[in-house]
Amino acid sequence: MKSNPSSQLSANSVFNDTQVEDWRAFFPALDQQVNGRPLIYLDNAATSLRPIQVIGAVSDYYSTINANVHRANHFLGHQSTKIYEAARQRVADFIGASSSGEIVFTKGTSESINFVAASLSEHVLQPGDTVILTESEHHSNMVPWIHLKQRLGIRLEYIPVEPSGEADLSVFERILEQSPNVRLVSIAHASNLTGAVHPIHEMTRMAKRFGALVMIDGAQGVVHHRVDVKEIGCDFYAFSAHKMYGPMGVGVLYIKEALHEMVGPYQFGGGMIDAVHFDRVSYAAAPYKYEAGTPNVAGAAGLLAAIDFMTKTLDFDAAVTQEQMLLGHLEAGLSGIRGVSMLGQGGHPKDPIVSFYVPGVHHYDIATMLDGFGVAVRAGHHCVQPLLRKWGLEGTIRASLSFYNTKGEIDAFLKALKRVLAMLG
Amino acid sequence: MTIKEKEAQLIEDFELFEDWMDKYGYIIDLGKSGASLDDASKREELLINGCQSRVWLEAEMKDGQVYYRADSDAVIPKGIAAMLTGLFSGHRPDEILDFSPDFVDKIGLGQHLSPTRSNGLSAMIQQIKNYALAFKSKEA
Repeated sequence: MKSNPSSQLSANSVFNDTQVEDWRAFFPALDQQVNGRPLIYLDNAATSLRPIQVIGAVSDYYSTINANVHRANHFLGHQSTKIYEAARQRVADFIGASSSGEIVFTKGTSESINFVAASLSEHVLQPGDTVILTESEHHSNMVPWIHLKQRLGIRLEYIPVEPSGEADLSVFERILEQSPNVRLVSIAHASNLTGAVHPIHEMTRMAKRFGALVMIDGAQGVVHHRVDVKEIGCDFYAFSAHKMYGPMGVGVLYIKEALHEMVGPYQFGGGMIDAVHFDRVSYAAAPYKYEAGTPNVAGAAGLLAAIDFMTKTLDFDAAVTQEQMLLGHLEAGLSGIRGVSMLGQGGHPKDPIVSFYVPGVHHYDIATMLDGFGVAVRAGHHCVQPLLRKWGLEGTIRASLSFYNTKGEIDAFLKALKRVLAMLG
Repeated sequence: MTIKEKEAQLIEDFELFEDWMDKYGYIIDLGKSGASLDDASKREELLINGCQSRVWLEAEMKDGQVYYRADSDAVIPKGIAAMLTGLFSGHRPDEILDFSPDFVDKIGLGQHLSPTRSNGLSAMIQQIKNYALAFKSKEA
Protein backbone atom coordinates (compact mmCIF):
# COMPACT_ATOMS: atom_id res chain seq x y z
CA MET A 1 0.00 0.00 0.00
CA LYS A 2 1.49 3.29 -0.98
CA SER A 3 0.91 6.66 0.66
CA ASN A 4 -1.46 9.10 -1.04
CA PRO A 5 0.03 12.63 -0.89
CA SER A 6 -3.22 14.34 -1.77
CA SER A 7 -4.71 13.23 1.54
CA GLN A 8 -2.07 15.00 3.61
CA LEU A 9 -3.39 17.24 6.33
CA SER A 10 -3.81 20.73 4.89
CA ALA A 11 -4.64 24.02 6.50
CA ASN A 12 -8.04 23.89 4.85
CA SER A 13 -9.01 20.43 6.12
CA VAL A 14 -12.40 20.41 7.71
CA PHE A 15 -14.07 17.76 9.76
CA ASN A 16 -16.16 15.77 7.33
CA ASP A 17 -19.18 15.17 9.54
CA THR A 18 -21.16 13.11 7.03
CA GLN A 19 -18.24 10.79 6.44
CA VAL A 20 -17.75 10.31 10.15
CA GLU A 21 -21.43 9.51 10.69
CA ASP A 22 -21.19 6.86 7.96
CA TRP A 23 -18.15 5.36 9.65
CA ARG A 24 -19.74 5.48 13.09
CA ALA A 25 -22.78 3.61 11.80
CA PHE A 26 -20.58 0.53 11.39
CA PHE A 27 -19.80 0.40 15.12
CA PRO A 28 -22.74 -0.82 17.24
CA ALA A 29 -20.92 -0.26 20.55
CA LEU A 30 -20.87 3.49 19.90
CA ASP A 31 -24.62 3.58 20.20
CA GLN A 32 -24.96 3.22 23.96
CA GLN A 33 -25.46 5.25 27.09
CA VAL A 34 -23.15 5.21 30.07
CA ASN A 35 -24.46 6.61 33.35
CA GLY A 36 -27.32 8.18 31.43
CA ARG A 37 -25.11 9.91 28.87
CA PRO A 38 -23.97 8.98 25.37
CA LEU A 39 -20.76 7.00 25.48
CA ILE A 40 -17.67 9.02 24.62
CA TYR A 41 -15.09 6.33 24.00
CA LEU A 42 -11.58 7.74 24.22
CA ASP A 43 -9.72 4.59 25.20
CA ASN A 44 -8.89 3.26 21.73
CA ALA A 45 -5.24 2.60 22.53
CA ALA A 46 -6.42 0.05 25.09
CA THR A 47 -8.73 -1.56 22.58
CA SER A 48 -10.62 -0.30 19.58
CA LEU A 49 -14.29 -0.91 18.97
CA ARG A 50 -15.33 -3.44 16.34
CA PRO A 51 -17.40 -2.86 13.18
CA ILE A 52 -20.36 -5.09 12.31
CA GLN A 53 -18.27 -6.64 9.55
CA VAL A 54 -15.88 -8.08 12.13
CA ILE A 55 -18.58 -9.04 14.62
CA GLY A 56 -20.44 -10.73 11.78
CA ALA A 57 -17.38 -12.61 10.58
CA VAL A 58 -16.81 -14.14 14.01
CA SER A 59 -20.48 -14.89 14.48
CA ASP A 60 -20.79 -16.36 10.97
CA TYR A 61 -17.81 -18.57 11.57
CA TYR A 62 -19.38 -20.07 14.66
CA SER A 63 -22.77 -20.37 12.93
CA THR A 64 -21.46 -22.22 9.92
CA ILE A 65 -17.90 -23.35 9.30
CA ASN A 66 -16.93 -23.93 12.88
CA ALA A 67 -14.61 -26.93 12.54
CA ASN A 68 -11.05 -27.59 13.53
CA VAL A 69 -8.32 -26.82 11.03
CA HIS A 70 -5.72 -28.75 9.07
CA ARG A 71 -6.40 -32.24 10.30
CA ALA A 72 -9.92 -32.97 9.08
CA ASN A 73 -10.95 -34.76 5.93
CA HIS A 74 -14.45 -33.42 5.91
CA PHE A 75 -16.05 -30.41 4.26
CA LEU A 76 -16.25 -28.17 7.32
CA GLY A 77 -12.64 -28.91 8.20
CA HIS A 78 -11.60 -27.88 4.73
CA GLN A 79 -13.68 -24.69 4.90
CA SER A 80 -12.19 -23.86 8.25
CA THR A 81 -8.67 -24.41 7.00
CA LYS A 82 -9.46 -22.31 3.94
CA ILE A 83 -10.58 -19.31 5.93
CA TYR A 84 -7.74 -19.64 8.41
CA GLU A 85 -5.15 -19.73 5.63
CA ALA A 86 -6.96 -16.97 3.75
CA ALA A 87 -6.62 -14.84 6.88
CA ARG A 88 -2.94 -15.68 7.04
CA GLN A 89 -2.44 -14.60 3.44
CA ARG A 90 -4.44 -11.42 4.01
CA VAL A 91 -2.21 -10.50 6.93
CA ALA A 92 0.88 -11.18 4.83
CA ASP A 93 -0.39 -8.83 2.11
CA PHE A 94 -1.46 -6.26 4.70
CA ILE A 95 2.00 -5.86 6.18
CA GLY A 96 4.02 -6.54 3.03
CA ALA A 97 5.47 -9.91 4.04
CA SER A 98 7.08 -12.03 1.32
CA SER A 99 4.75 -14.95 1.93
CA SER A 100 2.08 -16.20 4.27
CA GLY A 101 4.70 -18.59 5.69
CA GLU A 102 6.13 -15.60 7.53
CA ILE A 103 2.88 -14.99 9.40
CA VAL A 104 2.30 -16.76 12.72
CA PHE A 105 -1.00 -16.38 14.55
CA THR A 106 -0.64 -15.84 18.28
CA LYS A 107 -3.09 -14.63 20.89
CA GLY A 108 -1.79 -11.10 20.79
CA THR A 109 1.22 -8.78 20.85
CA SER A 110 2.26 -9.82 24.35
CA GLU A 111 2.34 -13.47 23.36
CA SER A 112 4.22 -12.62 20.16
CA ILE A 113 6.93 -10.84 22.12
CA ASN A 114 7.12 -13.62 24.71
CA PHE A 115 7.46 -16.03 21.78
CA VAL A 116 10.50 -14.19 20.47
CA ALA A 117 12.02 -13.86 23.96
CA ALA A 118 11.56 -17.57 24.69
CA SER A 119 12.80 -18.76 21.34
CA LEU A 120 15.80 -16.46 21.23
CA SER A 121 16.70 -17.36 24.81
CA GLU A 122 16.87 -20.98 23.76
CA HIS A 123 18.61 -20.63 20.42
CA VAL A 124 20.41 -17.31 20.23
CA LEU A 125 20.94 -15.34 23.42
CA GLN A 126 23.95 -16.02 25.66
CA PRO A 127 24.80 -14.54 29.06
CA GLY A 128 26.36 -11.15 28.54
CA ASP A 129 24.61 -10.54 25.21
CA THR A 130 22.89 -7.18 24.87
CA VAL A 131 19.23 -6.48 24.12
CA ILE A 132 18.34 -2.83 23.44
CA LEU A 133 14.92 -1.33 24.26
CA THR A 134 13.67 2.25 24.60
CA GLU A 135 12.74 3.73 27.97
CA SER A 136 9.13 4.13 26.85
CA GLU A 137 8.41 0.49 26.05
CA HIS A 138 5.17 -1.08 27.26
CA HIS A 139 5.64 -3.70 29.98
CA SER A 140 4.91 -6.40 27.41
CA ASN A 141 8.10 -5.37 25.60
CA MET A 142 10.10 -4.90 28.76
CA VAL A 143 9.20 -7.57 31.31
CA PRO A 144 10.04 -10.57 29.06
CA TRP A 145 13.55 -9.12 28.62
CA ILE A 146 13.96 -8.27 32.32
CA HIS A 147 13.03 -11.88 33.02
CA LEU A 148 15.79 -13.00 30.65
CA LYS A 149 18.23 -10.63 32.35
CA GLN A 150 17.42 -12.35 35.62
CA ARG A 151 17.23 -15.88 34.25
CA LEU A 152 19.94 -15.88 31.62
CA GLY A 153 22.16 -12.95 32.48
CA ILE A 154 21.64 -10.92 29.30
CA ARG A 155 22.41 -7.18 29.43
CA LEU A 156 19.65 -4.64 28.90
CA GLU A 157 20.34 -1.20 27.49
CA TYR A 158 17.71 1.51 27.22
CA ILE A 159 17.56 4.23 24.57
CA PRO A 160 16.50 7.37 26.46
CA VAL A 161 13.45 9.29 25.31
CA GLU A 162 13.09 13.05 25.41
CA PRO A 163 10.12 14.71 27.10
CA SER A 164 8.67 14.81 23.56
CA GLY A 165 8.66 11.02 23.60
CA GLU A 166 11.24 10.88 20.83
CA ALA A 167 14.08 8.38 21.12
CA ASP A 168 17.56 9.85 21.35
CA LEU A 169 19.22 8.38 18.27
CA SER A 170 22.72 9.61 19.10
CA VAL A 171 22.61 7.69 22.36
CA PHE A 172 21.21 4.70 20.44
CA GLU A 173 24.24 4.86 18.15
CA ARG A 174 26.57 5.00 21.13
CA ILE A 175 24.87 2.04 22.80
CA LEU A 176 25.16 0.05 19.56
CA GLU A 177 28.86 0.84 19.26
CA GLN A 178 29.80 0.25 22.86
CA SER A 179 27.69 -2.70 23.96
CA PRO A 180 29.02 -6.24 23.75
CA ASN A 181 27.23 -8.65 21.40
CA VAL A 182 24.14 -6.64 20.54
CA ARG A 183 21.80 -9.44 19.54
CA LEU A 184 18.41 -7.73 19.45
CA VAL A 185 16.85 -4.31 19.30
CA SER A 186 13.20 -4.48 20.36
CA ILE A 187 11.23 -1.26 20.08
CA ALA A 188 7.69 -0.03 19.74
CA HIS A 189 6.38 1.33 16.46
CA ALA A 190 4.72 4.04 18.57
CA SER A 191 4.48 4.72 22.29
CA ASN A 192 1.17 3.94 23.96
CA LEU A 193 1.97 6.63 26.55
CA THR A 194 3.20 9.64 24.60
CA GLY A 195 1.96 8.73 21.12
CA ALA A 196 5.48 9.35 19.74
CA VAL A 197 6.06 7.41 16.53
CA HIS A 198 9.60 6.08 16.43
CA PRO A 199 11.69 6.26 13.21
CA ILE A 200 11.69 2.48 12.97
CA HIS A 201 13.07 2.36 9.42
CA GLU A 202 16.13 4.34 10.42
CA MET A 203 16.54 2.58 13.75
CA THR A 204 16.35 -0.80 12.01
CA ARG A 205 19.05 0.29 9.57
CA MET A 206 21.24 1.41 12.45
CA ALA A 207 20.74 -1.88 14.28
CA LYS A 208 21.51 -3.89 11.14
CA ARG A 209 24.89 -2.21 10.78
CA PHE A 210 25.79 -3.95 14.00
CA GLY A 211 24.30 -7.28 13.00
CA ALA A 212 21.45 -7.20 15.48
CA LEU A 213 18.01 -8.71 15.03
CA VAL A 214 15.17 -6.21 15.13
CA MET A 215 11.76 -6.73 16.71
CA ILE A 216 9.03 -4.13 16.34
CA ASP A 217 6.16 -4.02 18.83
CA GLY A 218 3.48 -2.89 16.40
CA ALA A 219 0.54 -2.86 18.83
CA GLN A 220 0.03 0.88 18.21
CA GLY A 221 1.45 0.66 14.69
CA VAL A 222 -0.78 -1.05 12.15
CA VAL A 223 -3.89 0.81 13.20
CA HIS A 224 -2.54 4.25 12.26
CA HIS A 225 0.21 3.53 9.72
CA ARG A 226 0.77 1.61 6.51
CA VAL A 227 3.23 -1.08 7.51
CA ASP A 228 5.64 -2.69 5.04
CA VAL A 229 7.93 -5.05 6.91
CA LYS A 230 10.29 -5.42 3.96
CA GLU A 231 10.70 -1.65 3.78
CA ILE A 232 11.28 -1.48 7.53
CA GLY A 233 13.72 -4.36 7.28
CA CYS A 234 12.77 -5.80 10.66
CA ASP A 235 13.07 -9.47 11.54
CA PHE A 236 9.96 -9.62 13.74
CA TYR A 237 6.82 -7.50 13.80
CA ALA A 238 4.09 -8.10 16.36
CA PHE A 239 0.57 -6.73 16.62
CA SER A 240 -2.87 -7.50 18.05
CA ALA A 241 -6.15 -7.69 16.16
CA HIS A 242 -8.14 -6.04 18.91
CA LYS A 243 -6.41 -2.67 18.60
CA MET A 244 -7.18 -2.53 14.88
CA TYR A 245 -10.91 -3.22 14.93
CA GLY A 246 -10.48 -7.00 15.03
CA PRO A 247 -11.42 -9.49 17.74
CA MET A 248 -9.62 -10.00 21.02
CA GLY A 249 -7.59 -13.16 21.48
CA VAL A 250 -5.77 -13.14 18.16
CA GLY A 251 -2.57 -11.46 17.10
CA VAL A 252 0.28 -11.80 14.69
CA LEU A 253 4.00 -12.42 14.81
CA TYR A 254 5.78 -11.79 11.52
CA ILE A 255 9.02 -13.80 11.33
CA LYS A 256 11.28 -13.12 8.36
CA GLU A 257 11.77 -16.32 6.38
CA ALA A 258 15.55 -16.27 6.63
CA LEU A 259 15.15 -16.80 10.38
CA HIS A 260 12.87 -19.84 10.23
CA GLU A 261 15.75 -22.28 10.71
CA MET A 262 17.20 -20.41 13.67
CA VAL A 263 13.96 -19.54 15.47
CA GLY A 264 12.69 -22.64 17.20
CA PRO A 265 9.10 -23.31 18.31
CA TYR A 266 7.73 -21.58 21.39
CA GLN A 267 4.85 -23.86 22.27
CA PHE A 268 4.80 -27.58 21.67
CA GLY A 269 2.02 -29.99 20.94
CA GLY A 270 -0.48 -30.96 18.34
CA GLY A 271 -0.45 -29.31 14.95
CA MET A 272 3.18 -28.20 14.93
CA ILE A 273 4.76 -31.61 14.40
CA ASP A 274 5.72 -33.83 11.52
CA ALA A 275 6.41 -37.13 13.30
CA VAL A 276 6.24 -37.96 17.00
CA HIS A 277 7.88 -40.92 18.72
CA PHE A 278 7.99 -41.62 22.44
CA ASP A 279 11.42 -40.08 22.72
CA ARG A 280 11.80 -37.66 19.87
CA VAL A 281 9.89 -35.39 17.53
CA SER A 282 10.37 -33.71 14.17
CA TYR A 283 8.61 -30.42 13.54
CA ALA A 284 6.41 -29.19 10.74
CA ALA A 285 7.54 -26.44 8.42
CA ALA A 286 7.04 -22.77 9.28
CA PRO A 287 4.62 -21.26 10.05
CA TYR A 288 2.90 -24.40 11.34
CA LYS A 289 5.74 -25.35 13.65
CA TYR A 290 5.02 -22.13 15.51
CA GLU A 291 1.34 -22.84 16.14
CA ALA A 292 0.54 -25.57 18.65
CA GLY A 293 -2.99 -26.61 19.52
CA THR A 294 -6.31 -25.49 18.14
CA PRO A 295 -5.97 -21.92 16.92
CA ASN A 296 -8.46 -19.08 17.35
CA VAL A 297 -9.91 -19.63 13.88
CA ALA A 298 -12.91 -17.42 14.54
CA GLY A 299 -10.47 -14.74 15.64
CA ALA A 300 -8.49 -15.14 12.43
CA ALA A 301 -11.72 -14.83 10.44
CA GLY A 302 -12.44 -11.65 12.37
CA LEU A 303 -8.94 -10.32 11.72
CA LEU A 304 -9.41 -10.98 8.00
CA ALA A 305 -12.64 -8.98 8.15
CA ALA A 306 -10.88 -6.19 10.08
CA ILE A 307 -8.17 -5.91 7.45
CA ASP A 308 -10.78 -5.86 4.70
CA PHE A 309 -12.64 -3.18 6.63
CA MET A 310 -9.53 -1.04 6.95
CA THR A 311 -8.36 -1.49 3.36
CA LYS A 312 -11.60 -1.75 1.38
CA THR A 313 -14.49 -0.25 3.35
CA LEU A 314 -12.65 2.59 5.03
CA ASP A 315 -10.67 5.21 3.19
CA PHE A 316 -7.60 4.60 5.34
CA ASP A 317 -5.82 7.81 4.45
CA ALA A 318 -8.94 9.87 5.16
CA ALA A 319 -9.34 8.05 8.47
CA VAL A 320 -5.76 8.81 9.51
CA THR A 321 -6.19 12.43 8.46
CA GLN A 322 -9.34 12.64 10.56
CA GLU A 323 -7.46 11.21 13.55
CA GLN A 324 -4.72 13.80 13.19
CA MET A 325 -7.25 16.63 13.03
CA LEU A 326 -9.00 15.30 16.13
CA LEU A 327 -5.62 15.03 17.86
CA GLY A 328 -4.86 18.67 17.05
CA HIS A 329 -8.24 19.73 18.35
CA LEU A 330 -7.80 17.71 21.56
CA GLU A 331 -4.33 19.07 22.24
CA ALA A 332 -5.43 22.64 21.56
CA GLY A 333 -8.33 22.20 23.97
CA LEU A 334 -6.23 20.64 26.73
CA SER A 335 -3.56 23.31 26.47
CA GLY A 336 -6.28 25.86 27.24
CA ILE A 337 -7.25 24.26 30.56
CA ARG A 338 -5.37 25.64 33.53
CA GLY A 339 -3.44 23.04 35.47
CA VAL A 340 -3.33 20.44 32.69
CA SER A 341 0.15 19.26 31.77
CA MET A 342 0.51 17.09 28.67
CA LEU A 343 3.21 14.48 28.02
CA GLY A 344 4.92 14.06 24.69
CA GLN A 345 4.55 17.66 23.57
CA GLY A 346 6.63 18.64 20.60
CA GLY A 347 6.91 15.07 19.38
CA HIS A 348 6.26 14.49 15.70
CA PRO A 349 4.94 12.38 14.13
CA LYS A 350 2.44 11.37 16.76
CA ASP A 351 -0.31 8.79 17.05
CA PRO A 352 -3.66 10.18 18.28
CA ILE A 353 -2.81 9.59 21.94
CA VAL A 354 -2.55 12.25 24.65
CA SER A 355 -1.47 11.59 28.23
CA PHE A 356 -1.85 14.39 30.73
CA TYR A 357 -1.78 15.03 34.45
CA VAL A 358 -2.92 17.78 36.79
CA PRO A 359 -0.50 18.45 39.64
CA GLY A 360 -2.27 18.11 42.97
CA VAL A 361 -5.20 16.14 41.54
CA HIS A 362 -5.13 12.36 41.50
CA HIS A 363 -5.70 10.72 38.13
CA TYR A 364 -8.02 8.18 39.73
CA ASP A 365 -10.38 10.92 40.89
CA ILE A 366 -10.40 12.59 37.46
CA ALA A 367 -11.12 9.38 35.57
CA THR A 368 -13.82 8.31 38.03
CA MET A 369 -15.65 11.60 37.68
CA LEU A 370 -15.22 11.67 33.89
CA ASP A 371 -16.89 8.27 33.82
CA GLY A 372 -19.94 9.93 35.34
CA PHE A 373 -20.13 11.99 32.15
CA GLY A 374 -19.97 8.87 29.99
CA VAL A 375 -16.34 9.54 29.10
CA ALA A 376 -14.05 6.51 28.85
CA VAL A 377 -10.40 7.38 29.32
CA ARG A 378 -7.63 5.41 30.97
CA ALA A 379 -5.92 6.40 34.21
CA GLY A 380 -2.81 5.04 35.80
CA HIS A 381 0.58 3.89 34.63
CA HIS A 382 -0.53 2.49 31.25
CA CYS A 383 2.01 -0.32 31.59
CA VAL A 384 4.91 2.12 31.39
CA GLN A 385 5.85 2.32 35.07
CA PRO A 386 9.64 2.80 34.77
CA LEU A 387 9.42 5.83 32.50
CA LEU A 388 6.64 7.47 34.50
CA ARG A 389 8.65 6.93 37.67
CA LYS A 390 11.68 8.51 35.97
CA TRP A 391 9.52 11.49 35.06
CA GLY A 392 8.34 11.73 38.67
CA LEU A 393 4.77 10.72 37.94
CA GLU A 394 2.60 8.04 39.49
CA GLY A 395 0.06 8.07 36.74
CA THR A 396 -1.63 10.04 34.03
CA ILE A 397 -4.96 10.24 32.25
CA ARG A 398 -4.75 9.01 28.68
CA ALA A 399 -7.21 9.91 25.94
CA SER A 400 -6.68 7.92 22.74
CA LEU A 401 -8.64 8.54 19.58
CA SER A 402 -9.94 6.73 16.55
CA PHE A 403 -11.38 7.99 13.27
CA TYR A 404 -14.89 7.34 14.63
CA ASN A 405 -14.51 9.93 17.40
CA THR A 406 -15.98 13.33 16.64
CA LYS A 407 -15.07 16.93 17.29
CA GLY A 408 -18.29 17.12 19.33
CA GLU A 409 -17.12 14.26 21.55
CA ILE A 410 -13.82 15.97 22.20
CA ASP A 411 -15.62 19.23 23.03
CA ALA A 412 -17.88 17.35 25.45
CA PHE A 413 -14.84 15.68 27.03
CA LEU A 414 -13.08 19.02 27.49
CA LYS A 415 -16.19 20.55 29.03
CA ALA A 416 -16.57 17.62 31.41
CA LEU A 417 -12.89 17.80 32.33
CA LYS A 418 -13.20 21.49 33.21
CA ARG A 419 -16.18 20.76 35.47
CA VAL A 420 -14.38 17.87 37.10
CA LEU A 421 -11.24 19.91 37.74
CA ALA A 422 -13.30 22.80 39.12
CA MET A 423 -14.73 20.38 41.62
CA LEU A 424 -11.52 18.53 42.48
CA GLY A 425 -9.03 21.37 42.23
CA MET B 1 -26.44 3.54 67.38
CA THR B 2 -25.83 0.21 65.71
CA ILE B 3 -23.88 0.06 62.45
CA LYS B 4 -27.16 -0.57 60.67
CA GLU B 5 -28.66 2.59 62.13
CA LYS B 6 -25.62 4.61 61.15
CA GLU B 7 -25.90 3.25 57.62
CA ALA B 8 -29.55 4.31 57.44
CA GLN B 9 -28.50 7.79 58.57
CA LEU B 10 -25.81 7.93 55.89
CA ILE B 11 -28.30 6.93 53.19
CA GLU B 12 -30.71 9.61 54.44
CA ASP B 13 -27.93 12.23 54.33
CA PHE B 14 -27.33 11.44 50.66
CA GLU B 15 -30.96 11.98 49.79
CA LEU B 16 -30.27 15.70 49.97
CA PHE B 17 -28.29 15.36 46.76
CA GLU B 18 -30.02 14.40 43.57
CA ASP B 19 -27.24 15.00 41.10
CA TRP B 20 -24.46 12.36 40.96
CA MET B 21 -21.80 15.07 40.92
CA ASP B 22 -23.24 16.51 44.12
CA LYS B 23 -23.14 13.04 45.69
CA TYR B 24 -19.46 12.75 44.76
CA GLY B 25 -18.98 16.24 46.19
CA TYR B 26 -20.46 15.09 49.46
CA ILE B 27 -18.23 12.00 49.54
CA ILE B 28 -15.20 14.19 48.94
CA ASP B 29 -16.29 16.56 51.72
CA LEU B 30 -16.70 13.64 54.12
CA GLY B 31 -13.14 12.66 53.27
CA LYS B 32 -11.85 16.16 53.88
CA SER B 33 -13.56 16.48 57.25
CA GLY B 34 -12.75 12.94 58.38
CA ALA B 35 -9.63 11.98 60.30
CA SER B 36 -6.42 11.83 58.28
CA LEU B 37 -3.19 10.05 58.89
CA ASP B 38 -0.05 12.09 59.36
CA ASP B 39 2.86 11.25 57.08
CA ALA B 40 4.59 9.17 59.74
CA SER B 41 1.50 6.98 60.01
CA LYS B 42 1.31 6.32 56.27
CA ARG B 43 3.39 3.16 56.50
CA GLU B 44 3.73 0.48 53.79
CA GLU B 45 2.12 -2.15 56.02
CA LEU B 46 -1.07 -0.12 56.28
CA LEU B 47 -1.61 0.05 52.51
CA ILE B 48 -4.62 -1.81 51.16
CA ASN B 49 -4.16 -3.87 47.99
CA GLY B 50 -6.78 -3.70 45.28
CA CYS B 51 -7.06 0.07 45.02
CA GLN B 52 -5.90 2.15 42.09
CA SER B 53 -4.80 4.92 44.44
CA ARG B 54 -3.01 4.51 47.75
CA VAL B 55 -5.27 3.82 50.72
CA TRP B 56 -3.93 3.40 54.25
CA LEU B 57 -6.05 1.89 57.00
CA GLU B 58 -5.14 1.45 60.64
CA ALA B 59 -7.14 0.09 63.54
CA GLU B 60 -6.91 -0.10 67.30
CA MET B 61 -8.96 -1.77 70.00
CA LYS B 62 -10.18 0.23 73.04
CA ASP B 63 -12.53 -1.10 75.70
CA GLY B 64 -13.62 -4.00 73.50
CA GLN B 65 -14.42 -1.75 70.50
CA VAL B 66 -12.49 -1.27 67.29
CA TYR B 67 -11.59 2.22 66.02
CA TYR B 68 -10.41 2.84 62.47
CA ARG B 69 -8.52 5.65 60.77
CA ALA B 70 -7.89 5.85 57.02
CA ASP B 71 -6.41 8.13 54.40
CA SER B 72 -5.76 8.16 50.65
CA ASP B 73 -3.83 10.21 48.13
CA ALA B 74 -6.98 10.40 45.98
CA VAL B 75 -10.03 12.27 47.28
CA ILE B 76 -12.84 9.87 46.28
CA PRO B 77 -11.26 6.82 47.98
CA LYS B 78 -10.52 9.08 50.97
CA GLY B 79 -14.20 9.93 51.13
CA ILE B 80 -15.24 6.30 50.78
CA ALA B 81 -12.76 5.37 53.51
CA ALA B 82 -14.20 8.10 55.75
CA MET B 83 -17.72 6.74 55.21
CA LEU B 84 -16.57 3.23 56.05
CA THR B 85 -14.52 4.17 59.10
CA GLY B 86 -17.45 6.29 60.28
CA LEU B 87 -19.76 3.31 59.99
CA PHE B 88 -17.51 0.70 61.55
CA SER B 89 -15.63 2.65 64.25
CA GLY B 90 -16.69 2.25 67.85
CA HIS B 91 -18.19 -1.20 67.55
CA ARG B 92 -17.37 -4.65 68.83
CA PRO B 93 -15.59 -7.08 66.45
CA ASP B 94 -18.64 -9.36 66.24
CA GLU B 95 -20.94 -6.58 65.09
CA ILE B 96 -18.34 -5.51 62.50
CA LEU B 97 -17.90 -9.05 61.20
CA ASP B 98 -21.65 -9.60 60.92
CA PHE B 99 -22.38 -6.42 59.00
CA SER B 100 -22.56 -6.26 55.18
CA PRO B 101 -22.74 -2.68 53.90
CA ASP B 102 -25.51 -2.00 51.49
CA PHE B 103 -25.34 1.73 51.06
CA VAL B 104 -23.57 2.20 47.71
CA ASP B 105 -26.66 1.34 45.67
CA LYS B 106 -28.95 3.09 48.13
CA ILE B 107 -27.09 6.39 47.96
CA GLY B 108 -27.56 6.28 44.19
CA LEU B 109 -23.99 5.58 43.17
CA GLY B 110 -24.44 1.87 42.42
CA GLN B 111 -23.40 2.30 38.79
CA HIS B 112 -20.47 4.50 39.67
CA LEU B 113 -19.00 2.80 42.70
CA SER B 114 -20.01 -0.85 42.46
CA PRO B 115 -17.71 -3.07 44.54
CA THR B 116 -16.61 -4.95 41.43
CA ARG B 117 -14.72 -1.89 40.32
CA SER B 118 -11.24 -1.37 41.64
CA ASN B 119 -12.13 1.68 43.71
CA GLY B 120 -10.99 -0.16 46.76
CA LEU B 121 -14.46 -0.37 48.28
CA SER B 122 -14.50 -4.13 48.71
CA ALA B 123 -10.81 -4.21 49.57
CA MET B 124 -11.39 -1.64 52.32
CA ILE B 125 -14.37 -3.52 53.73
CA GLN B 126 -12.35 -6.73 53.68
CA GLN B 127 -9.46 -5.12 55.53
CA ILE B 128 -11.82 -3.59 58.10
CA LYS B 129 -13.17 -7.06 58.77
CA ASN B 130 -9.67 -8.57 58.82
CA TYR B 131 -8.71 -6.18 61.60
CA ALA B 132 -11.90 -7.02 63.52
CA LEU B 133 -11.19 -10.72 63.17
CA ALA B 134 -7.61 -10.27 64.35
CA PHE B 135 -8.74 -8.31 67.41
CA LYS B 136 -11.43 -10.87 68.14
CA SER B 137 -8.92 -13.75 68.04
CA LYS B 138 -6.60 -11.85 70.38
CA GLU B 139 -9.45 -11.36 72.83
CA ALA B 140 -10.31 -15.06 72.90
